[in-house]
Amino acid sequence: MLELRHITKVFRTREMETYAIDDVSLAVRKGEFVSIMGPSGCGKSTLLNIAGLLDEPTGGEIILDGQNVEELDDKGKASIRNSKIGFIFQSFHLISSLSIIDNVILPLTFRNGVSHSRSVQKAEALLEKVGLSHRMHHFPAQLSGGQCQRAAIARALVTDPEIILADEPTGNLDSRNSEEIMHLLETMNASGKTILMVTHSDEIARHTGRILMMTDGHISVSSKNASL
Amino acid sequence: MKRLLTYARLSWPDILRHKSYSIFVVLGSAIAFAFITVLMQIYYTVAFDRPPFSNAGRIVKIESFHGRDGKDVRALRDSEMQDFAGCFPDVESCAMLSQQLSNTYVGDAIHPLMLYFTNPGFWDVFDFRFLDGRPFSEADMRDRAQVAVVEKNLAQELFGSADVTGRGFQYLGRTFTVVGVVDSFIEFPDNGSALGNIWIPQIFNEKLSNDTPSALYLLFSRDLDAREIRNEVSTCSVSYFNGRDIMVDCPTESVRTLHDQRGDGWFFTWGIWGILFILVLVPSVNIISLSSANAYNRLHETGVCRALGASSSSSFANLMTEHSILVITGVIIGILLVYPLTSALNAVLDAGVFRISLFSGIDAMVIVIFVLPVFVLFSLLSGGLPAWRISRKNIADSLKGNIVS
Repeated sequence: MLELRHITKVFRTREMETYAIDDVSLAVRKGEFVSIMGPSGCGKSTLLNIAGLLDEPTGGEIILDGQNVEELDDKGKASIRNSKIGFIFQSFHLISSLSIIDNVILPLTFRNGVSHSRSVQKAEALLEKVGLSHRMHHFPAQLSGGQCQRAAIARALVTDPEIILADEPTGNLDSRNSEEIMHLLETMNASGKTILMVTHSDEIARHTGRILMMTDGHISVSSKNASL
Repeated sequence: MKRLLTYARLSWPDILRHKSYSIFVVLGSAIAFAFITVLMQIYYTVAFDRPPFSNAGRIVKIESFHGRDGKDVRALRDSEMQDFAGCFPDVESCAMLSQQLSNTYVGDAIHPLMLYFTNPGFWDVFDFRFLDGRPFSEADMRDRAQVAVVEKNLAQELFGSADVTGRGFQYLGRTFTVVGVVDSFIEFPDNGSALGNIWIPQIFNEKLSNDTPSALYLLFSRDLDAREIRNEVSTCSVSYFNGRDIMVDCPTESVRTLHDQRGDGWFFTWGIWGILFILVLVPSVNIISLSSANAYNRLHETGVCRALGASSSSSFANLMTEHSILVITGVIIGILLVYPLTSALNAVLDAGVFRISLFSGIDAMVIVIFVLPVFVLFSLLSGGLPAWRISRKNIADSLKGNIVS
């Protein structure tokens, strides 16, 4: 499904080079729920950004569904992000000037051939699924953190992507909301979605099928989750 | 269309949120475009030979002649001008024009005016747009009809209305009846002399002496190109004076049509483009710095859109939508501002007796061929550069709100 081969990310200044990611390779199979754990600054979010084509690696290849997407131009990468990848971020990244339903519809506006009525229909169904149908015409500032993250999950699913990349999806939430979000992610995974998630919480990682430990830009341990 | 509507919906709250910025861009664009529109209207009228100068490319104003020693020979007298014009086989018509500051009366009110005396050929040489009535004719001259033609703005000033055909005014004890009203026009004829705004037949110019002859304009046939016109003026002028034992030097290259004369001046060759460049550049630079700050406010939003599948080019279009909404609003206000602006400029120029008119209205073509392209250039300059930078930033950095990356 998703394969990262020998990914390196180097931040250069005049004085020094810092290896944020140093020759990391990993493969995520279709239908897997994988978490990457590690301390702050170990490079896990950078790796997720590279996997999601939000950042450029210094070296290495990104293979998605057998295609080397690193070779694509800006338009090609944008198309991959839109059609094959769903993003869930720690700070939700909802656009404050758009209503919740407009935020959910947003990825479909970058895709040709989807009518507005069809987009609305799809967004309404997803907001219903995440329990926000009564809030769809509110704005992000009027919602709680948990509700914002559920809206962000609906947005990630609206394009029916093959893989969901989640960067600390519960990082800004209390434990009750965290549990609800993890339950939603598990449901998505059960329905066949592949999920790659970054977290620093053991508690949250326990919900996933495989845990990768990352330290200082390297993946050190890969383990099957015993709790599943 | 769907995408454009989304961009507009994303832009609108930003426009409202950053009111000071929005107002500055709108007003900056409005003022810049008001001046650009005036400038381009003048350029269009003059360079494209708009009425009453539609025939400028085949009109030659006869200036003074020089002998071979470089000294001026005596000027043509008014009484000689018809004979002189008759020497040119391809002249279709000729206009004689002289002017005199005179007291005229409308009712009991006295108006010191520059009165213009001319012949019927004047209306053939210069194609004024008649709003009402007619020009005066050969028959009027023969009958010594006391008739006049008035320009719209002057009619308004003298009579309080432009609908003045049949109304009268007094000059030297005679009553002249207005037989025609012409539309306003930009006074940029040749060498700074004006075509006038109130005309009566030249036979009533009783004070005119041979020391102050009329200006003479010759209108040549459409069949002649500029080079042939120059040749004919040169050859026939020399021949006319030779017949009167006066040796004149009239080289072909010294003969200029009204159209050529405008190209000779600095203003219409490079001056106008220099002014246009400054008018576009100064507000652009100001707006660039402001729109850079505004674009950085939208860095996060742009990052989100790109993460969700917007390409750099569609993000650029998104950012440009907001800027374009503001600039379009500014351009529309600017075009509306043109009228009070030019009234003010006209009032300044109108203060003297010459009553030079700077501006008489906007042609739709000016908007299409000048203002719209300049608007595109202005938008790209002032909003495009910051938008281009933001739309090409690293997405991960944009999501973090990192301005420097």
